[in-house]
Amino acid sequence: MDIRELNEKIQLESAFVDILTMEMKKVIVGQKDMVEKLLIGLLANGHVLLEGVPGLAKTLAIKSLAKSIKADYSRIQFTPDLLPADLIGTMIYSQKSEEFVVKKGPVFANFILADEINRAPAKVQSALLEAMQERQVTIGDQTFALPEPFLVLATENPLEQEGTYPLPEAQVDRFMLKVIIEYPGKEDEKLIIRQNVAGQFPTTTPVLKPAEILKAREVVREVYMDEKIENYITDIVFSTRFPKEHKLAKLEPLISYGGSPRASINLALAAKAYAFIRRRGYVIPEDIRAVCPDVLRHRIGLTYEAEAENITAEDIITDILNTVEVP
Amino acid sequence: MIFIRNQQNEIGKAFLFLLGIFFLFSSLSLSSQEVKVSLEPEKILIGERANLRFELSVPGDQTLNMPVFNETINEKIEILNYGSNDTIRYSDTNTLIITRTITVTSWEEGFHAIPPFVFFNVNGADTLALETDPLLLEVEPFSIEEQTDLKDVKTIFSAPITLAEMKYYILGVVLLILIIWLIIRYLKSHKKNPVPESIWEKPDIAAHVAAISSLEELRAQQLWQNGQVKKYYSRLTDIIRHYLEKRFQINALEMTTSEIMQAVKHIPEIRPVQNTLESILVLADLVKFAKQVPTTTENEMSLDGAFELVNQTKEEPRIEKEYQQEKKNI
Repeated sequence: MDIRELNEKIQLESAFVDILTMEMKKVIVGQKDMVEKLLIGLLANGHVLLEGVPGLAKTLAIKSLAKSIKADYSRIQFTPDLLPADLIGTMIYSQKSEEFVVKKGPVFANFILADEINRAPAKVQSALLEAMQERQVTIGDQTFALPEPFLVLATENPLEQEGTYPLPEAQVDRFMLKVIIEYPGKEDEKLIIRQNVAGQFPTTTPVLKPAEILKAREVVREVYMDEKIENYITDIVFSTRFPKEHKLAKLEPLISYGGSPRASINLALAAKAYAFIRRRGYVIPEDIRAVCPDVLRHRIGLTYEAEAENITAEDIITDILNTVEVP
Repeated sequence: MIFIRNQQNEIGKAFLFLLGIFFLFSSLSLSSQEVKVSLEPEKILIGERANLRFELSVPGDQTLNMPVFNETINEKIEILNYGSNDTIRYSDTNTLIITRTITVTSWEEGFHAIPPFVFFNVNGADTLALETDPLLLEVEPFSIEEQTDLKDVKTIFSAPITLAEMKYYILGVVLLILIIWLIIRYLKSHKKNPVPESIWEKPDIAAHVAAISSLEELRAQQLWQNGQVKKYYSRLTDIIRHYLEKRFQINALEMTTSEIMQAVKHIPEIRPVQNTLESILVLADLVKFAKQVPTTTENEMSLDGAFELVNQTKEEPRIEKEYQQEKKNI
């Protein structure tokens, strides 16, 4: 398709982005970046992991997004005693029909809020992450496809580590984005105070149907990505794997493992979604740079040396972006 | 009584007669079986060899068994060579002559007795043992004259090396050379071509000189005229980025268009040509990433804009700068 035509198509199809963003802004104050990243996850069909200290409206943001779209929504509070059956469902005996029937779990919804995902043991995390990857669930001898769109938005609290089960690297890799939520600015915080003191909490209303999301996803996939951009993506991801070969020898002792091919795929998809949000039919290096930290931060393994020197994955990503030549 | 004594005398005479006949026949038989042994020489120096020769003579229908020789004859005499039997049969005299020579030596000086050797003559059921005479071997030491120089034992002579012995070594060396050559050839073929030093890396060339030279080169290449529009804009933006990096020390090569514009915003020299720079970079992004095909005018204007950018922001020579400053001060 011609880029001009694609641009026009995107102008039309992305109109809902503004409406959705406005609806979200009614409830969420000062978290523009988080809202944008949630939209990227929604449009690129990738799950999002939100990490932030308590009280930063993580849960509220996800709840608001789900409510803005006329879709099924489930909230699962992850606790240490949660079982996989509590999540995916189980077979129960019906006295009425005198047979075992399937009782579907809360995972059968369009939007899943997995609150404090690191509080549940590995087997529950595993059950959810399997559903995220396969987009289907097997209960007894029956396999059920999950509804479309299916998006898991999980939250993690970085402060309380006691009684938590950190997500293994292989499982955290299934999240397209890991978004770090920062504190709001002073002005935004004043607005939050006013809203809360007045006791008038705005609520979101559904402005979008799931079918529109699915249609938008199709358009996102059509966004043009030049080979130069693909090269830029691979350069960045390969820099995390073999820093020495990309003039980043100083990072060699700090990285224990680099991004997987899933990192490259997700970087490309997220960049396309970002370009869509910016109403562009093509990806430019800015798009890559904008989504790169969220796509890569949970995919780079740090060594003890890096941890000892308080070097974070973000520092490494910044170094990489400042070294890899932009096409 | 006298009769009995006479009878006993008769019997004794007859016995003596028969005994005499027996000895007569025995001596005749022995005389035809002979064992001789000789030593040549009987006197040797330490370690020299001597031959011990046996000669056995027996009737043709009889056999004479050789003694079994060990490694030594006695404690002092060693056998070096056991030799073999040499048999000659004389049919006219019906005699069998068996000869054998063994080689002996001794490493101790003195007189060493060679004991008699015993040979067994087997004749049907009868076996007769025949002994040789004992012999004496004299072993003398080497005479050392005190006046003469003593010489050390000669070292082992090294035999000349033949080609057959060396063939495996030669083959090994040839193989080693071949392997080294192949490795060198492989490395050379896989070695990346050394990147020639870029004009931007040469410190003695001013940023604007390098930029103008590169832009002239780009113009001469006529890339967009030959349909290589994408390559043309990639080169053009590369030159501009290199120039900005060398001239203003901003990492333009690792920056996106918006980041570059943000970085140059506060550089006073760039302010007059800021819009030109932005339009070139934005157009280049569209060509590179959005398949946009610019017009001929746009292509020419982009290159002209790049020349303008360089000419307007180039670093003035120091003397010129100082002169301007002085003029301002006056």
